[in-house]
Amino acid sequence: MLRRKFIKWSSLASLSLTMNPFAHDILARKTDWIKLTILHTNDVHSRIDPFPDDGSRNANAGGAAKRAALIQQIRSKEKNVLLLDSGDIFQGTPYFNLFKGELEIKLMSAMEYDVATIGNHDFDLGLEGFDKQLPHANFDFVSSNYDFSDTMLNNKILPYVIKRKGGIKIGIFGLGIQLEGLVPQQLYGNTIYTDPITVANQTAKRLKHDEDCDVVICLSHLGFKYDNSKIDDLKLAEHTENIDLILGGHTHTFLVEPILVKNRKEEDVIINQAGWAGILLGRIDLFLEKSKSKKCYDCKNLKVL
Amino acid sequence: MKYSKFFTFTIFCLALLLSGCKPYAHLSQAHFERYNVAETEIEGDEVKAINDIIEPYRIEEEREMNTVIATVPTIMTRQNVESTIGNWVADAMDEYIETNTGETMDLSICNYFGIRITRLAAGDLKVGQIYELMPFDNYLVTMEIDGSTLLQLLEVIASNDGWPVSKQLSMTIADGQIQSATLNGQAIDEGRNYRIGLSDYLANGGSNLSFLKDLPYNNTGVYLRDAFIEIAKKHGVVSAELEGRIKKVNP
Repeated sequence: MLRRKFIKWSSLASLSLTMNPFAHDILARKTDWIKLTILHTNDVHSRIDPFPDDGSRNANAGGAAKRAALIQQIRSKEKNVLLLDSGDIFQGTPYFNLFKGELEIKLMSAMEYDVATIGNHDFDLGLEGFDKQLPHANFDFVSSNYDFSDTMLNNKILPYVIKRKGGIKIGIFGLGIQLEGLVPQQLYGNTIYTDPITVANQTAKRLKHDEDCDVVICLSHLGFKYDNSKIDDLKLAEHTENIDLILGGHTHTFLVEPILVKNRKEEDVIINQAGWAGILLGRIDLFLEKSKSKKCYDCKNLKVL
Repeated sequence: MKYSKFFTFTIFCLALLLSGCKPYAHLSQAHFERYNVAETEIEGDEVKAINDIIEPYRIEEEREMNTVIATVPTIMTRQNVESTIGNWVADAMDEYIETNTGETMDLSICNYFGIRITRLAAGDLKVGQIYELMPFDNYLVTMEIDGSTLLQLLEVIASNDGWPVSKQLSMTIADGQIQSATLNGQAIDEGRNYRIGLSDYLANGGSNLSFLKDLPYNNTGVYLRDAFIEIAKKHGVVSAELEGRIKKVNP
């Protein structure tokens, strides 16, 4: 059931790899550390019930009740849990066609999601349709590169949020895909899409330096990888700084393990995506070392062991 | 006074910074897991609250999806170059538009993979099966295009080995090329305009119809799926014949 892997930030990791993979394990050292457990989904697409038991590839996969149980079981063991979603909550089953997204949002609220971003399908019932479901959400929606100021969603979707868990500050912002050509204009109205890289750099810098966040997470609905020049999570990571973790969506990518990419300052960024339809729940535990110094000497390189 | 206050505050801030009052937390390690949600063991009443939220919606969803709206006398299939499901779908689009807008249609089309099922079993037809046939919220729209654009459209249909088309068309194809094409027995006139019915997905240039993208269309405001449900209910029978609307011939 569990695929457990370790990712380490350590200048010594390559050395310790040949000797003892756990020699540099923060858990074995006498340092003061905090564990942050991040659970995430993307492209759930109105999958409330498990897939039907019809012998097809996804038979019996997923299901909101089991996801809720799993989240609850993890919460009972972990102190600092964040539950995040990278968009495309809507569209895919008759539940959406009949109830217009109400049940999806109610269930996310019941599972105590903290933050979600907006996917292209979340515009399927227009800005008005989305707005109608917002009262059912007791979590935040973030998007930094969709400008909603000339729409009814003005001030209802935040550019970013800051969460505090176990004494650390986590900045979370969202990035959405280009709407033109993908979503009919009458659905997104006067929403303005702006370049994700520019906005990501501005927002992440603000979170890391002005707001003093210890961790910066980007919820992206850009897609994992395109072979053309279209912006994706890999390109986003390469051309930005101050982002620690990108939780992606849109391309329904089942990553066997998170990908590490060097950002423009040669620092490591973790990228992950958890398939679609609520088949998987992704989990990344971040271990943060407390120190009095702003500079972290151990944090230069990240290794997947 | 004002100045000295500011000065004191600055010194205070500096002192705070230098003394390292704010502890820094650095990412130094990460673990990951991915859970297959279906393998979760639910213990007792753990998710009662979740199931209580879902239950009323599920009951209504099942009642709606299990509603029988028509009978299918004989099994229907989706196939190239022409098929029974395809013929029924395209004729239903035509009929829906003509009944509800009063427009007379020259042709309705649907892209092959716009139909998401390959067969409809004989017997009762339930609403849920129409949802499976057409899960997307695509709108039924109408367009007026000139004869040369219509021919361009038919060329795409020919190169795709035949899409669902309504009964007005009679076309022969060979090696993905049009050999002959008539609408209501008449040759296609490049000089006149034709009224066609299609999905907004196609009208917006989907499935390689980029030449339609900049042309205006009228949106009926009705989802294709709802149009199919209405036509199925109206007749109580869902059936279609193969009539040679599209035929393969030797070049």
